[in-house]
Amino acid sequence: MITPKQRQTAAESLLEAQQTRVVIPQLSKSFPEMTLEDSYDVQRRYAALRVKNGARIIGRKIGLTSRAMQMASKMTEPDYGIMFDDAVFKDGASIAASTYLKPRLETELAFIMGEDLKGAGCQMHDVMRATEFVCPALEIIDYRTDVPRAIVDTIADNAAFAGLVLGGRIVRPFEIDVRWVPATLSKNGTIEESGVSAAVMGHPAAGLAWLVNKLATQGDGLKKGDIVLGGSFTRPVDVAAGDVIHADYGALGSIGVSFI
Amino acid sequence: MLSANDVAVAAARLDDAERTRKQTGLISLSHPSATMDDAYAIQAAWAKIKLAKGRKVVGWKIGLTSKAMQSALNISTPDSGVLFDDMVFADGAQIPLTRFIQPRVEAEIAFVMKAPLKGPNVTAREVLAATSYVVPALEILDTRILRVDPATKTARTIVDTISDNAANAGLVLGEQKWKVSDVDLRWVGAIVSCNGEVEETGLGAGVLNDPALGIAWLANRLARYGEAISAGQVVLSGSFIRPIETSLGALIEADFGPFGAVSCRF
Repeated sequence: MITPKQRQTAAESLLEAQQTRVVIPQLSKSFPEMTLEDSYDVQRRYAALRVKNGARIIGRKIGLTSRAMQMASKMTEPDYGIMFDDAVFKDGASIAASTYLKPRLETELAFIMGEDLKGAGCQMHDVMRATEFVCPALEIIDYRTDVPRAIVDTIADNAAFAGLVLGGRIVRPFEIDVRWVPATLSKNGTIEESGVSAAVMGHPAAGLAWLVNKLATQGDGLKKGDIVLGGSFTRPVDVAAGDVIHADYGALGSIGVSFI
Repeated sequence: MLSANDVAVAAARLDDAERTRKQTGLISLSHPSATMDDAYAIQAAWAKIKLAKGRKVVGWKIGLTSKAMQSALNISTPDSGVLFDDMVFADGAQIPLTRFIQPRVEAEIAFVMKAPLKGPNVTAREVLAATSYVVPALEILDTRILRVDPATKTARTIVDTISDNAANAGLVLGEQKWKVSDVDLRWVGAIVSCNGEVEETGLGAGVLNDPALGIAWLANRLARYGEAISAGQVVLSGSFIRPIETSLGALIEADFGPFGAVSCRF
């Protein structure tokens, strides 16, 4: 465990790294005794600073949802981060790569909640019932600390969240098979990654159920209107200025962005 | 260029490694000047050893078909290997782990040909015209060469992979046969689980954007050596997932949705 003062210092240094685009040393090195609980508190403090600066919280992202990513982080569960309104882009946007340190892209499904969802014992069917819409999404992830990272670094760093692009068709969750949404991710005309939404814990709603149960341990939950990024079903693809990105979700449509 | 003797020695090393299940050292280390052509010569020499022992060629495999796998080996082309009759397992088969050294599994689309394909200048359209049917498939990979040299920590290169029959060790074909005109190969997806947990997913489009392109590439590569894909042969068109590690008892299930399913247990 680290002290509340150390957590606050960590949150401030992460915000500064994001603003100045200079990575900070790994928090796991600066604070070797940092725990998972500490790292989620650093994340909350970072979010409070962002809100103080005028950002609005729009929902949560879930990360480390695939077996491969969990094993790489020596974790047996996902992690989550907090999303802000000033990190949302429209389909077709030109995004300044210089806003980020080492931006990468992931393909996901976004869940838009139709009712509050809170409490322990949440299951996949509770998630499906509480979800109003599902739509394709691209997530921009970024690292504000040096690498290699321990899991506490990733979580404190807002689970690597950096941006969100929503696009394609907005559907009701029972209109489609949420497990079988396909995606190809192309960079400059070449397919770099492909995947199917079942890569997210067998079913993306399982990730949201995990999130709701996790939030319950902190007395928190999801609210009507919240957007939840369900977790990537492709591996991260590096992007840089000049790259043109096309994510094709088959029958659910596609999302295109360019980095300038 | 390697001498005929160097090629024969390397092929014998690979054959020994497979039979004794003891990996041999990196060919790229013992022969630093070896080229991709040398590597295919070693692969062909090893195939000859197998044919002399009574094995039959049943087809081909194409590897390194995704951007990610090519970047990992720092090359920009696929590679290919030879499929033999003793590598074929039935859908649902119990596969003895003891047959392999470090088996891994990939999911792909297998093409069964009804007409020969001879390059050069074979196109994806000609591939489709020469295809009898396509089926869901699992490929078993193995490595008869050390992944990393213990002394120098040097990793395998493309020369090692190609010499080692493009890592091929087995294939499991699904039961569902599809005419190519009845399926959009780019959007065939696979959800692959090990012991009930989803490990990897991918789409046909992950293979060079279209699995048929890999087969055109193969026909054109074989033409350089005066060879061709024959009618009746099976071609594994390239994995659209990353390899899954296996262990004793591992149940591998590949769900291809409406396209079918294929499974095996080690």
